[in-house]
Amino acid sequence: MDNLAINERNFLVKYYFRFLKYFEILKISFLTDTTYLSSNFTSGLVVFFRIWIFTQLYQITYATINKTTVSGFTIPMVIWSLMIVQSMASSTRPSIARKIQDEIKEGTIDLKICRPYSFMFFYYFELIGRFISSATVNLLVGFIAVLILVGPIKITIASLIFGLILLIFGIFLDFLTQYIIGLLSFWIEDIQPIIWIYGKGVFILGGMIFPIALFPESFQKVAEFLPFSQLFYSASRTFVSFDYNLFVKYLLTQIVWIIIFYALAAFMYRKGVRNVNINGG
Amino acid sequence: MSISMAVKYLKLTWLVQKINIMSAMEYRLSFLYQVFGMIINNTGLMFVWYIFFKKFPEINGWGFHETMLLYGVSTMSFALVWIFLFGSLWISSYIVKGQLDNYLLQPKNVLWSISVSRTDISAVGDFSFGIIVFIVSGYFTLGNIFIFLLVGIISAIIFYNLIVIVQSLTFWFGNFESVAEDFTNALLGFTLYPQTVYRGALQIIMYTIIPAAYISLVPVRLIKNFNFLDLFLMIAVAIITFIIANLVFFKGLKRYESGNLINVKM
Amino acid sequence: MNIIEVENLQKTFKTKQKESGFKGGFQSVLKPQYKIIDAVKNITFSAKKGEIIGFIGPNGAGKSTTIKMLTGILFPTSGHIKVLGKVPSENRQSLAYEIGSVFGQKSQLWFHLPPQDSYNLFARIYELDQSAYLERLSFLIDSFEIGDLLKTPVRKLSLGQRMRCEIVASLLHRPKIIFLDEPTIGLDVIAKQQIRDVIKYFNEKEDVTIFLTSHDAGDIEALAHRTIVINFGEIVFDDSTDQFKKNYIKSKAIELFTSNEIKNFDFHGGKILSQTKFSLKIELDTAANSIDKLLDYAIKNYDIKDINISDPSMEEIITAIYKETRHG
Repeated sequence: MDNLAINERNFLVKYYFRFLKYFEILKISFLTDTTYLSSNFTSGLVVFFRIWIFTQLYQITYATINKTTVSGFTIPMVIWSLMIVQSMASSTRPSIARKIQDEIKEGTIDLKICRPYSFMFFYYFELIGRFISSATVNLLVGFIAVLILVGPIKITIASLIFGLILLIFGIFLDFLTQYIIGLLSFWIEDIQPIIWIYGKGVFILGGMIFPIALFPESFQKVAEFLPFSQLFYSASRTFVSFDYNLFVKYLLTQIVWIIIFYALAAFMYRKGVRNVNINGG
Repeated sequence: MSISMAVKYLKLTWLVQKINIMSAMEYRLSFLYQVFGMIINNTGLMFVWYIFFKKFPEINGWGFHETMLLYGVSTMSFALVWIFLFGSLWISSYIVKGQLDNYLLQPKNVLWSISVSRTDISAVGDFSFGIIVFIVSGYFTLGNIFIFLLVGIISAIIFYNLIVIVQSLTFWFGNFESVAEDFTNALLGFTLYPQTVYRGALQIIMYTIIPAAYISLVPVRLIKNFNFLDLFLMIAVAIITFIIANLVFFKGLKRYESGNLINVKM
Repeated sequence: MNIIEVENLQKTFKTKQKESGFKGGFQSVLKPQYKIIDAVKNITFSAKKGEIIGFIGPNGAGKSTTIKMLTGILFPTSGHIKVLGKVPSENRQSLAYEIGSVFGQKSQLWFHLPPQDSYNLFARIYELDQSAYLERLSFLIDSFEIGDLLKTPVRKLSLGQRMRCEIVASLLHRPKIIFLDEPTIGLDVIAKQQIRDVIKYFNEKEDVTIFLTSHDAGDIEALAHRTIVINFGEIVFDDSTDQFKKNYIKSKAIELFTSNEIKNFDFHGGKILSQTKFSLKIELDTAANSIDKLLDYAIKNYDIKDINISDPSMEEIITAIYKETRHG
């Protein structure tokens, strides 16, 4: 079937085939990940231990100030929130930024550029495949851990649905930032420090150790505005304690950042590829 | 192993890594970038606790200053391993990729050859950070400097031994790279929480299965209130883990030499 | 005393078999299946001081396994093996002071450092006397012409340059025997020649025993005094290289490219393998006819644009040997 025929194909058919392509990529990524059962298991174990430590931390902390809720959050709510954020965050590791850097450094990016699929979406679907398998295990272990350690919390259908929406956007936003960092390899020799600093940003301001809801007022305002909190924290917080107004605020913040980063990513990619062509890579 | 041999190995270790670092310093920009990147990275970690302790000023006698001391000690022992014995973190990878052979052919102890085969420049940033944070922590006294260095070295040895043990399990379990990595990260991660957090069953785990206590809590205890019991405890753990590490590694190496490893490219 | 002594050496591997997919993964844990591989079946040979031995065979024939046993990386399943009078797997570290090795695909130099730094480190690791080392180093630098490569990080060197630096590293401590595993792999013709020349020089000057494996028959032809061929874990040929050449390198393939059309190419003693309008590939029996006779004929009758001359591939030679030993 020659190129002309492909281009003239029905719009729906074209997108169907494109979807199949990406689905295959997702499938391969998923299968690769699940063969490493033992490694998934231990990363789940690490999650368990971490949650345990946090439970004790907050139990002691709350006991010190003699309260059962802080800023509307009970200890179980705090722990559930942290568990979800941490499970999601570790499911996106190892960072695709590193993979992209390796490809750019080794020059194999040329292969990807020449192939008939979008560079960005290739990585996106690969990430999703990995994410689904990792997240399933992480969440499973996480759920068991929090149920044992702090017991259940009240979750409503609304919080699930709206939280899921924020999660989907959040994953895409995280992907975009990792992708952009990876693309920096076109110009920067070693992006490792940037990966660290970004990771720290997520760590501090992404609600991984300390739910943003518990931040002092001034810090909270800043944190909710920055993209770090919009990756997984906003979804997690919504799952645990749904608030419609907050949901809308979070969603809008996410969308704004997504638009900015997407534009930035597209721009960097085009510039970077041209760079490669001019300098020979 | 005699004292003179130990001294020889120490000298060689210093020499190897000195050359590695000096060589990296030739790329001035990249060197500073990595070092400062790491300092900023670690400062970020501290910042979370800063926010936390702003909201909850003190939990059972543990506040922000104690956290700084903890970080000073932990990053110091981490930095010592990552600068001088970074190769130990690659044991698993070398085994799986069949790259052990080069080290087997060296006229020196195999475990040592592998351990010094690499260095992590960014750990120089960790080293600097550890010192800075210790100075700012409020625990910076003349006497404490000596204790700080002493416990830093002993916990680095313990840390190294634990890494070797887990990495060497690859000789039996093939695909162990990420598990080994998880263990190391867990170890590191657990060193970074306030002492008061570890009670009950968790405390037992911190002293046994994931022995992070010896590279964080015990050293901090020693700086706050020096006592010989804790010191002997640390030294004992260092010796025991060292013996186990060597046993496990060299037993595993025998397996490698039989050529019967699974998942290994011979 | 022989430098190498191998008697009835045998190596058997037991590898786990794993079926694909999830079920296979569980099966391999609960009820593991093993496959026995006889990598080296029963080989016997020895090497004298100053000999260059060419050790060849197809992939999977047992070459690397044998070298690994000789250097102590693997221990044998049974049999007797001694290098410099010591059992390799039991004396690996002490033997390391007297052995040099270059594995074509694996580097022993620190990747991010310039070779100079690696050499200095090796000098300390091998506990060489400083002044003797420096003298030795400058001699090696001259012989291998790596003077202007010393300060360049290894990762920036070309393959040929890196190979020369690797061989220098393996000679620093004046080993009595060096193991060269595919030292010319991936190199161009000129680089290959350079390496071969220097290896030969060192062998003659310092009586270093050399154990060489290669896929390139040219390496063996140029360097080895003796050739040992291994196939399916067994030695199928062990004799002088001259004998090897006489028996098996009996032809050359010559490709001619002309600017005028080739018609009626009539040269006796050569079998035409393929032919197009402007090119011709001919197999020449070197025993019966010399190359220059063929070239004479070609040049006299055609306008020659380009010529390629190649040895039979290692695979062809091995196949011929194997066929022969089956019938012989």
